[in-house]
Amino acid sequence: MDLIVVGMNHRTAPVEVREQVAFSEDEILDVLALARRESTLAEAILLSTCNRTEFYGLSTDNGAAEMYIRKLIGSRKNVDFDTHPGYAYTLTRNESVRHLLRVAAGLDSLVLGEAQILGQVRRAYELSLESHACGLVLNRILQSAIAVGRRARNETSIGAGAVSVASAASELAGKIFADLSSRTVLLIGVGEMGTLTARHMIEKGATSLVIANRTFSKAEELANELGGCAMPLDRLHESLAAADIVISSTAATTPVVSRETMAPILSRRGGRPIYVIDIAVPRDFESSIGEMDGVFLHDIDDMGVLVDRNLEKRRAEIPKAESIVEQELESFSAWRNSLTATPLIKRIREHVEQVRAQEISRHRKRFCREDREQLDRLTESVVNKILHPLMGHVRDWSNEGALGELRIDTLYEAFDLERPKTTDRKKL
Amino acid sequence: MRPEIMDSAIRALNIVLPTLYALLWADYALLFFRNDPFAERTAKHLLRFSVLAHAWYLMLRTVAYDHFPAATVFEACSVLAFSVIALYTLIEWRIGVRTTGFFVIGIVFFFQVVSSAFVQAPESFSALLWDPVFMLHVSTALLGYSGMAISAMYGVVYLMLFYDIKKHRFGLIYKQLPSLEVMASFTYRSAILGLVFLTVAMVGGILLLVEVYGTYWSWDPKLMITFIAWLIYGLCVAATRFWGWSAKHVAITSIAGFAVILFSLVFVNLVFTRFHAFV
Repeated sequence: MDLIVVGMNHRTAPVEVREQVAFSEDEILDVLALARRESTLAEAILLSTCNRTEFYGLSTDNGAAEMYIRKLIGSRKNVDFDTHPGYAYTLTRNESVRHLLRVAAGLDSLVLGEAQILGQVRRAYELSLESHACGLVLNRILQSAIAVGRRARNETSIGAGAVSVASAASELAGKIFADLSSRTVLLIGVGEMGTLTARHMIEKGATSLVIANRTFSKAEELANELGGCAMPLDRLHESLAAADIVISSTAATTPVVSRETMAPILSRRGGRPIYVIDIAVPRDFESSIGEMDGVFLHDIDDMGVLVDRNLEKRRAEIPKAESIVEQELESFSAWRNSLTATPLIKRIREHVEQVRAQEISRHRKRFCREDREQLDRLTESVVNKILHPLMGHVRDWSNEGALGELRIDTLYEAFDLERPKTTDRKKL
Repeated sequence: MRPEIMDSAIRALNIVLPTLYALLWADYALLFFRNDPFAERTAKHLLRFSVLAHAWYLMLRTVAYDHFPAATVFEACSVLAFSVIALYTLIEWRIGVRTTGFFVIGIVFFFQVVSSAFVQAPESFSALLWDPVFMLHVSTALLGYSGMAISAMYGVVYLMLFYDIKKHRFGLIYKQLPSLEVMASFTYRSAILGLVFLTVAMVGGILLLVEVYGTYWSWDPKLMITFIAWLIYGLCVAATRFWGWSAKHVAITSIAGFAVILFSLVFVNLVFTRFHAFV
């Protein structure tokens, strides 16, 4: 049985197509339940995030499984895969497993090493378990994927450092202030990037937020949404004197704060540092303000430097993370191969035990009651000692590809055992 | 313990201690520059072992040579190295960050190397060395110096990170050091600690002056320079407390104060005065 994946992601399909094939949690449960009823796939899992929709299935016939998955997604989401053949991809055998492990490690993410994907893989696993679509093999694969995700983040720096302007700003704030919880954040302007940065500061623990904007009603609206208070722009000096972190992103064409206006504000602050993140273009704070003592001023380009540096560091960690993926893949392959040996081992044991029991029963009368127990133990011990090395070889052969399979077949013939049929295997 | 065994142990530790501090410094360098996992595992244990070995060395010296080990400037250097490393161990335990250790252990290594290279077993020394006021004076003076050494080191590290953030250099210093606020706090608190101990040491010194020379003041260069250092740290603490000095000014002042102390401890002690020698 092979794992097959049919999917679309940020590399292959534009957002308009990806959003068309996105599944909600309820839809995922529905689709997995349907797949379970229709029995084309032995096991299944559906991973749907903003950057990917991937349907993983376990099947003995990859061609049929691919057709089934494409038809299932196509009918559910009204998508014709044939119209855009390049958007969807299909991977089978080891490639599909490797792909899932790389996804969990953040190696296939839009932002390299991002952490959310591991949680999303874990959620997809839970949904598959909930709909009883996850069996022995997918269980093992998903556990490997989660282990890879954890190891990649713990053993490498693939997820280290801020890689967006908003997170870079909060990282820098953390290098200036030990704790953001007692800090006052001043947001000047209600632009999208500034708002996102303010949200990041709140997530990092900042509790006091003041929003100053030319249109006061917009400041009030955002203050209500984010849990801060609004301040008219003409009281900016007052707010600057009280703030610890300033995020400025107005659409003004000339600087909002000059060096001359900043000097008296600083003298009122009593040596407290102020961190200014000026992400407006043109800039809201005169660049010479950054030279003043007690002011840390960073503009959008400075943030870019930090983001680029962190991304470069993450890229340098790719080989380490890929090596973790390969280790887990190898371990999974060994486990999967050992599954082919399990039925043979079981059958040989049953066969030998049957012969032993028959022979004991045939000669039972020749032994007294006390000797019969000893005879049982003795013959069991002889059988175990003979079979033990043979079982070890069988497990090894299961990892030796075609030659190993040939040897396993020979053993089936030698013991005159019937090979298990694929249809005997557990279906969903 | 027999005197000859103690003497051998002291001689051995005289070599072992600088070696230990060299290893410790190398360990902290690996931690700072390469985030080495081996260094991460060993640093804490090596630090504790070094502190214990150093404490044992000072105790042995006290017992074997029958005096508080501050008879010469080289003995005092070892006590100073010990109090700096002991104070740093407390700070590391308090903040749980090891990346600043590289800077502090450098000073400890320097003082211990100077001490081990030149220290000798004194044949005779002043009876003043067992005077309780003298012991209070010397021990508080050395604790004061340690506080100031730590304050100055954190001041240096603070300024390095301060200018890196200002100039948008997001390199090793930026990555490894804790926040500016944490380092400013240690610069200031260590300066207060140093000032308090040095004040007690100066009061003890005045009492000794009265006891030995019958005067409240001496124009000895060491006294004068230590008084200047005390004034610098006093200014630093008062200006922060009452005039809202920025952490950058505190850092610069603390570094200047410690430079004065180093000058007093090494140059003035060796060249100008016999006033503070007790052998």
